[in-house]
Amino acid sequence: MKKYISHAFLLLSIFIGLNSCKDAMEEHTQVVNVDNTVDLFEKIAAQPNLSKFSDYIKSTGYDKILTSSQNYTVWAPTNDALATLDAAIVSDPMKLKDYVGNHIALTSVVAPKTASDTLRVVLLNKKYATLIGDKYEEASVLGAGKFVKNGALYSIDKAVATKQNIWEYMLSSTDAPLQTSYISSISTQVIDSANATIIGYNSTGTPIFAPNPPMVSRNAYWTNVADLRTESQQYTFFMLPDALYNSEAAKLSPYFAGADKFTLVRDLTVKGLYTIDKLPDTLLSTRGVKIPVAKSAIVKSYRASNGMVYIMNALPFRLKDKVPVFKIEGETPLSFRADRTANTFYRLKLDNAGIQYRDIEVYNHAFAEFYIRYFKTAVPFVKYKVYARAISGAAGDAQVASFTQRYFIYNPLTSTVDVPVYDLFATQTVTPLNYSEVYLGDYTPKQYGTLDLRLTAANSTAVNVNTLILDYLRFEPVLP
Amino acid sequence: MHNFTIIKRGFSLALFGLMLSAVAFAQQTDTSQYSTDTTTVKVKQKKLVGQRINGTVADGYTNKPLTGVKLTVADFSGTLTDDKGKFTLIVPNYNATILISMNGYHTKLLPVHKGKLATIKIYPTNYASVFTEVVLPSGTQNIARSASAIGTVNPQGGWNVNSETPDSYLQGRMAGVNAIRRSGTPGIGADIFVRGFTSLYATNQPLYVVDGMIFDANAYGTSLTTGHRNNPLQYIDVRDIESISLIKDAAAAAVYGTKAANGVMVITTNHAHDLATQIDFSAYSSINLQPRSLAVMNGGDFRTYLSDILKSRGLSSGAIAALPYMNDDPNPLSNPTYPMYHQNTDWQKEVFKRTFDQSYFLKVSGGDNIAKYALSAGYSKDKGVIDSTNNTKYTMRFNSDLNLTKKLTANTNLSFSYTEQTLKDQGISARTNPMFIALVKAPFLAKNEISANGAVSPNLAESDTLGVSNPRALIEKGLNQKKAYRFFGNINFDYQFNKSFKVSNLTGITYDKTQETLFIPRKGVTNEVLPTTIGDSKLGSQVIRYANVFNDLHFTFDKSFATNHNLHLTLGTRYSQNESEQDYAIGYNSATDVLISIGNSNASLRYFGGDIGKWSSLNSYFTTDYSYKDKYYLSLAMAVDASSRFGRKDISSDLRYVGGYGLDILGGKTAVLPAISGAWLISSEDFMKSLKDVDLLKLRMSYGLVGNDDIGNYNNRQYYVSQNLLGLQGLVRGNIANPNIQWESIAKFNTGVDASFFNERLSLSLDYYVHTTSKMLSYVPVSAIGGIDSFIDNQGSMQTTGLDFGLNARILNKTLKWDLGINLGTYKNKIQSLPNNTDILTAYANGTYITSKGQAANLFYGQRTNGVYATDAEAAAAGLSIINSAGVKVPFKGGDMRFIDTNGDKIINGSDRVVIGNPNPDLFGSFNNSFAYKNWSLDVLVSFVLGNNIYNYTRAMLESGSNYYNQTDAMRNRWRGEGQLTNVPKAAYGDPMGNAQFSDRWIEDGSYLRLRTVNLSYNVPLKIKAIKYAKIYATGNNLFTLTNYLGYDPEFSATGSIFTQGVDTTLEPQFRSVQLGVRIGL
Repeated sequence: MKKYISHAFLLLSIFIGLNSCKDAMEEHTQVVNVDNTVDLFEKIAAQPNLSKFSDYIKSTGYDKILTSSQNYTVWAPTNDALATLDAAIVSDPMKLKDYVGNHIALTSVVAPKTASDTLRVVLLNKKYATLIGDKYEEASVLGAGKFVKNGALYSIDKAVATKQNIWEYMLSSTDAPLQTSYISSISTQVIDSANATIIGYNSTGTPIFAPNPPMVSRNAYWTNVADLRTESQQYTFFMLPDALYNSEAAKLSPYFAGADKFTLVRDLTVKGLYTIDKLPDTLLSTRGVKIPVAKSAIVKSYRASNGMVYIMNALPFRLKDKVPVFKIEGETPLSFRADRTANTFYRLKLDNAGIQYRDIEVYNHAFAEFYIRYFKTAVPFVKYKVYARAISGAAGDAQVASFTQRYFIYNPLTSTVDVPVYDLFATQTVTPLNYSEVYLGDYTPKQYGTLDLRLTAANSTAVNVNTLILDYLRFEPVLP
Repeated sequence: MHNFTIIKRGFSLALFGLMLSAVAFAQQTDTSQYSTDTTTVKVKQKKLVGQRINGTVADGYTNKPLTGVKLTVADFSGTLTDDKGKFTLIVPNYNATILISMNGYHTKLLPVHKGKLATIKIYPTNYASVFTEVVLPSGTQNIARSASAIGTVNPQGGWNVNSETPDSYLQGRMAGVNAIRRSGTPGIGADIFVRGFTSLYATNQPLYVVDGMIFDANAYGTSLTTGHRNNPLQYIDVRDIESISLIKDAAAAAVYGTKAANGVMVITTNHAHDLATQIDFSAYSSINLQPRSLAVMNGGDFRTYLSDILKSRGLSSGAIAALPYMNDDPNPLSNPTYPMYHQNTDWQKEVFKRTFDQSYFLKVSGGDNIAKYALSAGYSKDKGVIDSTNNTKYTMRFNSDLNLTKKLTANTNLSFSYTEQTLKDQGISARTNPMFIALVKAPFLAKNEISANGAVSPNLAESDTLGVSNPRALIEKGLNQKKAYRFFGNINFDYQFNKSFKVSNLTGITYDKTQETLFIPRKGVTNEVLPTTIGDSKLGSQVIRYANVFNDLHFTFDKSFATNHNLHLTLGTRYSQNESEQDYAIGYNSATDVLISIGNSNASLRYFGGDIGKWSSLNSYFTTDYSYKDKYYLSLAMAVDASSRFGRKDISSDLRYVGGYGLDILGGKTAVLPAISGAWLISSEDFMKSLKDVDLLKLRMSYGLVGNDDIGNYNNRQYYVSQNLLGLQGLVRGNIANPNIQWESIAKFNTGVDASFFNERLSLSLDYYVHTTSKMLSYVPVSAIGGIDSFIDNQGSMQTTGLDFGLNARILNKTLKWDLGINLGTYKNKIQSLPNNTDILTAYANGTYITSKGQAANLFYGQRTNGVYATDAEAAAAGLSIINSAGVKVPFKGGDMRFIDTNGDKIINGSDRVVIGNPNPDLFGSFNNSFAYKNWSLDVLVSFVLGNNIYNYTRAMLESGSNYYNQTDAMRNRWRGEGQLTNVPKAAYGDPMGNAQFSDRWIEDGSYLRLRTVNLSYNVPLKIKAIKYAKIYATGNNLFTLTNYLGYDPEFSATGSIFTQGVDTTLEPQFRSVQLGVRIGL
């Protein structure tokens, strides 16, 4: 009997032993880091030195977002940093929400960046924050990040207030009233296509809107230069006080009659963020014009949410940058006298130096006085030396004989609406395998504005005689 | 405790006996004589001169004296016990051997020594005894007299097993047999590895011989259902099996020549034993329990993971937040998909269901002097745990024994089985395996369509935006149907010319047909990308046929001469002709999901294919069993095999030795495979007579050659295969013909000891073996200029050595009886040579195996890891990089795996791979405990496997952190930020740094210990005359598994190839089931 009891006891203990073994699967999937079980808000609430920020999160309703199942990163200012926070922000719920939102991003930032590595993250208030090294904007990250179930938490030593973007700053600034008023004045009313009712489409597929569509104002600066309101881009913007603004505009008015102010302001925006310490002596505007910058000329600067604004007391543009050499490329015609697609060749060739060039050839089109029309807008009013390059007779080119082609330029003064007048500007004899530019003559536009040019063939229908070839025309201004 | 002391004492005695055996050999002289075959014992009545002995015979179970037990001395004398179990017998001298036999009991061999015999105990046939009679190719033999390594199982009617096929039933029942159940699918069976493996590319499954005829257990053709294999062994009902014996060495198996490489499993089905009519009826019902779910992430965790993955893919945080499943705005007007993407579905619960099985079986036997019959019929409907899968099976068997004339007898074994199976894709099938889909599908989705207001439609949801199918669509609308049947029958005539000369002829046929239908619906399942178009629904149909004609003609000769000599000779020939054919049609894009037959598919996308095979073999064999004084046994066997598969050359000479134990006969290769074995029954020696506790002690040794003819039907010839090129069908060369191809030759050495002590209270057997495969089939690489980069030739060799151990003990033998059985097996494999000594690298399921000279075959070969870099600085300090697909060197960063740079070149690539695991177990076996108390009995079978490694492919998918698949909860530990200490790398779409590549991260310990079956039965005491008996059974299967494995279950076998062993490809897991049944005898 004793034996049975001992056997039964043995069996029983084996079963108990087996059941008390730790389950391998549970052990494997167990969360090793307790942080991976808490959400961001719980983590913030648990940090004593973030209690103020945690209260703000709660009062602004962001706590619900921070407990959701998407990944967020919070840069939470410590209680010490928040001690200096403007009371006006704390008392205004809207401002506070914007303020708190300026510290939360819907993404998880897994590691502080190295000093050479920049990261921009979009924040919940739609602003972007720039992270360079251990800097969150102007604040420094304290200690290592904490990574929880739904994101990352960094504490920072400064309260980072919401910044204005460049456009908002420009409008609110009083440093350059003339420039500001000019830029804000160049706006037009356009149909608000997002909110307008579309009642149909015309034959080209353009929508037809219902009568009296809603209109919105659109600034020409946004479309032609840069939309300085965009948070996702970064710009460096220069503002000129009235005196400087006037003097610079005056320099331009002989060449840009009527458009001198726009010509000035369009070259005040540079793509990218250039803080003072990283400011080079020359920048390139969004339109490709060089901007000479002297740090000593900076009167004031503002770090906007999407870039930098500098108020300058000198910004000496060079005239040759504003009135540049320009080219009309043969292969970019505006139109033709008639459709000769089968005879028109857009060529990609190598010249005698082995350099690639593209040009146009219209060959054997059997049309007397056939022409190709070229267009160039906003041509400054100044005398130009004009050079042309037209290469015939290269390998594969049927045009091996010399031929003659002419250049006619539209005269806005003598033309009427019904009868356009084109003055003969130059006649060029194209000799085979001439790879150099040929000086055509001097040209002075009748006024600032559009250059309308026709490259015209001989008055003949014969092949090899009425050919047209053009690589480019180069207009070199003759400046004082 | 007392019992253990006895066992220990017995053990040391046995060892002592072993040591003395060599000395003792020279001293023996003897005079007894008997016939080896106990069924043909003849007793001559003549005046007996000899010694008179007295004794008592008792039942080993009850210790009660037995009446009517037959005691004989072969060809000399015989007697029966009286009503007190006593007997008196004249024996020729004190060296004689008595045979003690009785119906329903094991026949015991007992050497007579001078002096009074103690009470002789004999045991019923259900007791695991060394005196078990087994059926071998050369006839019935008592294990006690066999010189071969034999394993045996008696299913005892198999009344208490359900849903088991003969192969899965074998698990844990024999020493040295590692039966790995392929999956939990009903009827799928098991891969049986007898003493490890002997081949790389040919089969490693044993040969099945059912009622004297080869039973082809191969599955021909590939199933249309991914991961499924048709298992012909399911056509044999375990309840029809009388005994299973397994020949593990070469000696007794040699007669099967080139088919016996992996052992021979001899299965005998029930024949009538009594003339009286016996009716047995049983009915079962069982409940199958859902497997335990794997811990995959919930909706919230998955969404943070998903946003990490999307971010790593380059999506901006705004774009991620705008995705419908990230939009948390519950307003139906502004976010109409909110209800659709904000559920929390446990997909595993949608796929796995609790199911019920039922089974009925009827057996009738009886007859008269002329004819006896045994008829059985069975019906079962077994369900899998994957919802809506099942296996309906009908079996029918008619076995008869006919005494046609005095000398001519015949018996028939006819069986017909039919199954109808509803399946689902399993294994590596990311689009259509419902189990895999359930694991990886986003938990925030629902199975049905949901409107903006949250109304649930009865329509099933479409496959989702993350590219994962809806598992319910496959379960409810998909169709994987299989219908199969097999006729397996033979008739055997025996003509006994005289006492010692007999001729037998067995003729049989097998006809097998499998029909499959497949339909993968369009709705709810992701599309398949076809070469020229997109396949949205898939339809298929397949027919597989197999036919075999078999004939075995043999002569046997039995003779005893010169008092002590005994001879048994067999000479025979087997002819087998086989044909198999597979034809399938696959189509795509039926018009709607209700048009599901192949004819409705788009005709331009339909394609057809198949496979055809014809082979025949002629196997001539010769065996001699000789014994001297019933103590010394010697057997010789030889097979001469010719097969249509072997290489063939132009006739150069009529007969030529070709090496490798083969002959060229008329140009065709012919295998000549001899074997020799010997045994010494030490316990019958005179010097052992004082050791009364030793019932049997036998030493065995055998050596012989067997072959493996699974070398492909047509590799000796050149053949062409069809190929489609830009819509044109043509033929291209399929192989390089090898006229030298031959069977793999396996030399098997075996030595062992069988022993039994204390009136058979303790018996054990231990075997040591060395299997040396030469002429091993391997692919020989050749220059690919010819369009084919390898050919098949017999150029490798390997060796497997190992030990088998079996022990049976009756620990308690009072009112409470307790039998303990232990089976153990272990083996070591070593590759000895490979063509050009080139390592073989094989790939399966993103993993790699290496087979290299000097090592074991098929080892896992991959990267080693050591945690995860916590910071970028730490990674930079280690200085390791990868070369990405663009050829750019990319350094590891914080959150990447810390791979071990084995070759020190600071680049992690294929050359850093090392052996990271071995799928072969160190030790496998089982413990079996049977308890009996009055009318109650309890059987507990525990099986275990130790020290094997598993490549958890499923987990590699579920923890890759590189795609939109849902992941296990472990992924919550992924590296998220600088400085985090964890061992799970960061989530990165597309795995650019190879963090999820095949490495030791996915290799796990596959050891397990399983409560395989527990069976409790109660014999209801009845006093109704109409009913002979009634028994009630309760059986639990797989009730309890102890393992550290992290998948559903550590037991599975994706294919029969050794190059896929130990890879968990998400197959239906083994599930727990509990069944209740009743058996009634009329």
